[in-house]
Amino acid sequence: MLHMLVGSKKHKPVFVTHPLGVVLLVCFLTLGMGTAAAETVDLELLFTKVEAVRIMESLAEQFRDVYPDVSVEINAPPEARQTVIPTRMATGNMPEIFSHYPPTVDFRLQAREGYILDLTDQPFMDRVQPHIIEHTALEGRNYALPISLNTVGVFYNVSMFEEHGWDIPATYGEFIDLCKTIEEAGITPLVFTDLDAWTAQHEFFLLMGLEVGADTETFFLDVARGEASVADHPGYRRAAEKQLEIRDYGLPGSLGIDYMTGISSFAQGEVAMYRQGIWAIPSIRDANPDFEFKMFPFPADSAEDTKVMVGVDLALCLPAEDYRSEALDFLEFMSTVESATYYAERDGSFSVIQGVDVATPEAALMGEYIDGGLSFIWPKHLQGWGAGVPEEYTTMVQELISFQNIDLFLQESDRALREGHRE
Amino acid sequence: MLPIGLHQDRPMGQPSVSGAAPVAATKRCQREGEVFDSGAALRTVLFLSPTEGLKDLRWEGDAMKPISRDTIYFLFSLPALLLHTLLYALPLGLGVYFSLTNWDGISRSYEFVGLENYVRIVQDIRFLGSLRTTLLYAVLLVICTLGVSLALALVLNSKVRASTLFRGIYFYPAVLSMLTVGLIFRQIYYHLIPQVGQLTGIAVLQTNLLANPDTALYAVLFVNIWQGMGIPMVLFLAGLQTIPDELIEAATIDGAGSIRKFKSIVFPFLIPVFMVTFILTFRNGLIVFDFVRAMTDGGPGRVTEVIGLLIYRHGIYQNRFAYATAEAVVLFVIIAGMSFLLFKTLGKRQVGQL
Repeated sequence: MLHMLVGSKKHKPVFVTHPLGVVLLVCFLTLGMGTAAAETVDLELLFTKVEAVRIMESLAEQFRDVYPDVSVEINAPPEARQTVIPTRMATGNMPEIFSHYPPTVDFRLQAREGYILDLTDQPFMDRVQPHIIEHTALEGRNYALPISLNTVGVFYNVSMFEEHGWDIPATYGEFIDLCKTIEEAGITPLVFTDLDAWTAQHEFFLLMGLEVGADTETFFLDVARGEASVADHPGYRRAAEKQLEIRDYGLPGSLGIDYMTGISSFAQGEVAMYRQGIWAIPSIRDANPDFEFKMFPFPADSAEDTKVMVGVDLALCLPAEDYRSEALDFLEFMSTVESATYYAERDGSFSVIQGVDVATPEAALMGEYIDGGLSFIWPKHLQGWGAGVPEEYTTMVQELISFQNIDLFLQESDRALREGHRE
Repeated sequence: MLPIGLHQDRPMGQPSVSGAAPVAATKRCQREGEVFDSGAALRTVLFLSPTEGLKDLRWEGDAMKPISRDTIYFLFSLPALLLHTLLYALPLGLGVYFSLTNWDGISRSYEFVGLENYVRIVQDIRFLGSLRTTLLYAVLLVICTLGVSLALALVLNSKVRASTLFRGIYFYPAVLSMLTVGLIFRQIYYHLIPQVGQLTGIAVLQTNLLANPDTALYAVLFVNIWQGMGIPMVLFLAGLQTIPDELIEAATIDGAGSIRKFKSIVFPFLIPVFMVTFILTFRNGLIVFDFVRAMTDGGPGRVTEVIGLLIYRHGIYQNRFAYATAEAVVLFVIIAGMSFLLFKTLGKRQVGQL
């Protein structure tokens, strides 16, 4: 059959003699040359916040209006931070833009190994609040553009609270009393999503941060070095006790309830309160658009000690090798007041861009605490917390909830901190 | 062009053909001086049995030696061998190499630390606990899967009505992906089973079996058995077909009961299949990952934390890549050891061996 194309002694090539062949040949050649259309630059944004994908897609559309030749595609796989980003770094297949968490240990490791672009001298970094720049710096250099902060607290059903005349608790004791009152009204107070153990891990960090307080800076480093034990600080054990205590007031079978089920339970009015982070706001709004809900800070034993736990929720980075200038343009676009306001309004998180004045109604009370300086950062971002130790805590906390064995939990905490420690 | 294997015992230049088409093909070869007419060869192979066609076609030409059949077989297996080396043997070697370092998976440099990882593994209570869980899981999986699939094969081999339909039904789960099955069963355990428990009044079913530390492992095991019994069942059925009916009839005439017949006739014929499915199922049990990940992710606590999951956690989440690789090598040694032992003990009792 090859002789039909190339010809042989007996036959001429088909496309020379047959009219259809001529037509096909001409078409093929012109298409092959191609039209001189404008080439769009395709950027991939590897995004770690599943809840905010649609918001980012709208922002990408707005970016396209300003830069018509650049198309940003949002890719938000599950476990992007823990699994996808390190794997793509190791295989040299990094996305053009990605979101990450600057204070975390793996971020620091990856930046130190030279995988992430140094953004310190970029002009748009001046738009971020200075203390956040300091907080997210690594040895004086910044490798990520922070966009927003998150916090963890207790969502509550506003109409349910008003209907029954319940007040926001100011102390832990009042919180437990409130739970009992809600139970007497025949409603389940809380829902815990322990199947997705990371939610329980966050909760423990919140409780631990409230209990151990200002000592967290040095205490955990001592434990990691083997010079102390978590059992030495009474607040640590108290945090574990509290975590078990509040589970008495949650929906039964918490170990089988996952994150999304918890959100829909709360949004549908099955439970009165939901201890979660503000990243859940878009999802709760989606689950029930007419739902009125707000957040109050989880109280410490006394009202004066109550603080909110804050961390960087969204920060954007570029790969150090072969980065695109269009990707830098996208970061510059995200750091403008308009984009930051758009994002904060829909996501409910606290923007770190100067000049953004968004009042997220649901998180207003938390905002007051943050503005008032009554906040502390996630303990896992502190010294002494090695790579993978927060993930260990996820399993340990789930174990604590399953078996209710606080002594075992304390031993495991010591072991995890020590094993994860690398000087 | 097809190189075709030849009989060694026919002298060169003497075509031995069994039909008109091969004759024409060879004659054309000789006439036109072309080395081979692949079209004719193809037609020949299609109309005759494969080995006949191969036997009767020749590779013409003076300087060509006959290519031995063994060479041909080797060439056919070469692609598979290359793939196996590239995708299995090479990564295994690399893995053993990395297990002797302290690489964390992301740093650009690492150091050689010798057997330090292995020493730490032996002392790691979490690994040993996980090993115990995994071994328990694997043993139970083998017993239940092989038991169920053998029983099903025996039943479906006899002349029950619609046996073909039932074979299809019982085999169907085997074609589904493990992860999908796991995710669906997670929802079944959360929503459906508690309701069934309420209707029937069985207390243990009224909770989410995956959330209960006492039952989580067995709940995962159940799903694994449901999905994994298809292929052993089909293999056992195939094995049962090889048993000559005369033997069974003779035994029945001699007055042997069903159990005696099974022990002395059926089972020895099934031993090759049994060995293969035993090793495969045991190995599947030792490396189980998809089901656990989809349904419990190691929880609640550590009750379903199998070795596969631990290796994944250490390697990906905790940046302890070299340590995780060392754990994987330990697992490999365990599987290899068990397979070897099994072949040794059961290999002698096959039909055809003495």
